[in-house]
Amino acid sequence: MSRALVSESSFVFKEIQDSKRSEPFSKKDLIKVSHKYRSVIHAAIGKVDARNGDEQKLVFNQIEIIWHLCEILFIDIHQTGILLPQLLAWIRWHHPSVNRKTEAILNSSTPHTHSNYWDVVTTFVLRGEVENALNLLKLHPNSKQNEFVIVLELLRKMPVFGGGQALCEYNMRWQAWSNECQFRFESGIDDAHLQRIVGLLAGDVPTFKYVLHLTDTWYHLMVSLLLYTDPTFKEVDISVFAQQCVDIYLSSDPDKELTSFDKILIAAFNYDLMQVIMESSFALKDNWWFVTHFVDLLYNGNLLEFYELVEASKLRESLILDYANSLMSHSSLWLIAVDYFDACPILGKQHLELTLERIPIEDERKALKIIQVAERRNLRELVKSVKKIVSIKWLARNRLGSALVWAIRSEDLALTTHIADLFLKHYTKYRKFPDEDVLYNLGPLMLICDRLIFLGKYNEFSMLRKQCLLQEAGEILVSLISSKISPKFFLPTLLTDSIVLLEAEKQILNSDQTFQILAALEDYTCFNNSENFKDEVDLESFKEKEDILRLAISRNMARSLITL
Amino acid sequence: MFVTRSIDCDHKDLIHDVAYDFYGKRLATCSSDQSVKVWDITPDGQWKCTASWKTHSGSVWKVTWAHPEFGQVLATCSFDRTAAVWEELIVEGSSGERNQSHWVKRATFVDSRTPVTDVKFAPKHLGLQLATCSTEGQLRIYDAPDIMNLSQWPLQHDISCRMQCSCVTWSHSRLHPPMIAVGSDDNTPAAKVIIFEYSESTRRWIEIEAISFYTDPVHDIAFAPNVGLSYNLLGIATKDVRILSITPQQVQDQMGVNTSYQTNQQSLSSSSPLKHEIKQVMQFNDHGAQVWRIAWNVTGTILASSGEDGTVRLWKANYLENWKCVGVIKGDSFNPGSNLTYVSAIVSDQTENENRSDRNMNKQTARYYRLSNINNPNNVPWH
Repeated sequence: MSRALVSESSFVFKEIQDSKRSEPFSKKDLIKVSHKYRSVIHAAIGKVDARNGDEQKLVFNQIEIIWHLCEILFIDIHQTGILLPQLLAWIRWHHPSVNRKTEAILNSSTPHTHSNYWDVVTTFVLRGEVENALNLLKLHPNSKQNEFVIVLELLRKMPVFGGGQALCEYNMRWQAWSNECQFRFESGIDDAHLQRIVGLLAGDVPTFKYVLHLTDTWYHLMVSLLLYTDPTFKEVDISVFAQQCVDIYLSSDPDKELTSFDKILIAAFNYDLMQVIMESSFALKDNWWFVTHFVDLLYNGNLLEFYELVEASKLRESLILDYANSLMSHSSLWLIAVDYFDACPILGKQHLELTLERIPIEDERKALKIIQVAERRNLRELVKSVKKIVSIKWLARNRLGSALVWAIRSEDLALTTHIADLFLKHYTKYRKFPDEDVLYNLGPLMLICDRLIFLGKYNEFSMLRKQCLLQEAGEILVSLISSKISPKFFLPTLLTDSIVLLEAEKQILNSDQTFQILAALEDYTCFNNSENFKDEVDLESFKEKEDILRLAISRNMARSLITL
Repeated sequence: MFVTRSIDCDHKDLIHDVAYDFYGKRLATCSSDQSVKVWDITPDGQWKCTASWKTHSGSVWKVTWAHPEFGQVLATCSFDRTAAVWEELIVEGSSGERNQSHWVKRATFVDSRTPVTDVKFAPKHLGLQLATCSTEGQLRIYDAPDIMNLSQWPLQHDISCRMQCSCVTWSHSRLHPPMIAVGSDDNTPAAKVIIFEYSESTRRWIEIEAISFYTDPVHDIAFAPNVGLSYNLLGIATKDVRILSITPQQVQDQMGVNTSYQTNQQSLSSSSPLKHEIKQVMQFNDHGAQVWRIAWNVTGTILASSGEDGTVRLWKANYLENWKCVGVIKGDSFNPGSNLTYVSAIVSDQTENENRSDRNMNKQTARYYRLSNINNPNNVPWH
């Protein structure tokens, strides 16, 4: 799929969804949006990558042709029911090669001898571009001769419908003109080229067959044939014409077969919208781009009901979901898919959740993008889950600071406590914290769980100690010891820390605080004796410190009693 | 468009299971050579083996990934009557690139006296739980209360299924009570699929249905991913592919007419779980042979099945919920350089399947099929 097509069309799609009004789109609005889509696809053809371009270009071209035709047949319906002018425009727009050839002829010194001269004149006649045909014919040196004058006159007189003309009046004029053409054709003209042109004007089918190579497709043949046989044909008849032209086209060359593209157009000429949708989603290699956007457009104009499709809203939603799911599996188009899920009232949110959680989280930037999308749609579980996964990923790489930040964001208490413990265990081993700045910047975030409060407070203590603000440090330490929120494995560290304060030159801890420390020490040793403490080594090393601590406690106790 | 590639994975014996991780970026394979291999996809789309180790002392039947919220964790089960949980330790090289990773065994489950045939993690909203089933007919559920400690897995429930179990699956629905379905591949004419539901009030798993109209051996079973639907879809691989829908009935319906498949009397009397309406929504015999494995895509809209006929088939429902085969991938006819084009930019995490059925071929090659739904797997979803 082309990135340009996907992203540009998503803007149009979103515009439709955002402009949801109480009333369905008017015909005028629909045509406007339809034109936008067509210009998106037209622009995408120009941007097709050269490497694998040919196939993609072909697909885009086909989509453009189909969309344009469907717009004519299903949306932009003329009040009079006359299709021909639109179909002619359709043919001209999608067969632009004649313009190039004309240029080549005009650039040559003797245009009428150019090998393409008569082909181009004939093509202009087939496309109903009488002016162009006339101008080219006038370049011919024989254009003043009688035969030429007759043909030029016929071309000039060809009636054109429009401009407030009554249909029956036009029909009469056209019939008269056609009769004249037939008369001329039957009388015969010596110049074979001119005779052929008159044959076309007279609607002579064998002549059309003769120049079949100029109407390179059956639908071109059909429009040209209708132009000179029945220009005011009604919608109901067109499917019959289409079938006739398909037959002519197929019988002209036994190797020709109907492609799936032809089948889509036939279905459209049959006004069988469901068949168009089926054939297109089956055959077009566009990732359902066409059906998704076209059906959504019709849906918003209430046209699906008009064409009697059952369960129109379900049909629309299932198409959008398939399209969005396919975008979701693309590593860089997935954000675009989100708007499409939003447009699905029944299952959109569920599908978004299921596919969004499967987007690989390579880095934090991607995680934040996913979280932003999920938060806006109130997918709380998903937001938490993503944050947790990022935390776990950092944890696996032993990046405790980042892991902690994401764990806090995820509001998962077990995970946060676990990581806070890892911080503390790290400290007991190395006497310093990893990623200190993270702890320093915790602020009110630390309030989400006890262990985090402890961690934050202890970090504050060690900061103060570093700055030699022992008085403040002492207060925090004692409150940590007395509050009993310390994990057991960290108590030895806390108690050991108190030695420095107890032994400080100036008295820092008063008797009450000293007593708190003693009480905690008693509790701890008591606990160790009762339970088989696993970490033997730690215990051994603490045994030595215990004696020092007891001594320090008693000395500070004595000191505080004196100062009392 | 299907992209078929082979990975030469150098297992020394039959490969029994292939499992994608949550994101489709890693693969785990297990084999009768008693080992498990883990594969990581490189930025240019190649699968590279990053770990290979002996896991059991018998054939390893199944391998499965835990949700990434729990880290990089695998569970395996084996003919050697045990199941095990493994965790990856990342050793970051100097280049920062992941080369060979190291997997550590965190727990072994030795409760079974017969081979353990399947192992599955619970959906993550139920925490870190693991269900195993064995040929002796026991469904066991383990629960790791501390997700940071993968070595503690107390056995929570030990439930008899009265049949030789072959496969187990958890329902993903958050709207309903936890649900487990167990399948059996023995050859008795009894029911082959049993559905259990967890009752919060009694804290027990209660058998709510033994599906009596399925008596053919069941090889694989899988609940469809589901976040908001009122019903569960259960895919079943037996002699053909089937899908059941399981809809909890409203309370007032219990007073009404009994459903036709009501078979389970005794459990209703005590704790009266909600009745469930169980309907078959599709049954297709396109494989024309035993169906070995099934897998859902992430949205639960496409079911893939692999069969004895050497094909993987894809099933999808249209918007009117008519199921249809939307794709066939022929394993045997795969031929590098044939008309399949490789679309590297668009890899879809849709679904995967392995040819377990190819018992006598490709012993050392894991085949995987990655369905990219970029182009037309839904051939005519309207019919």
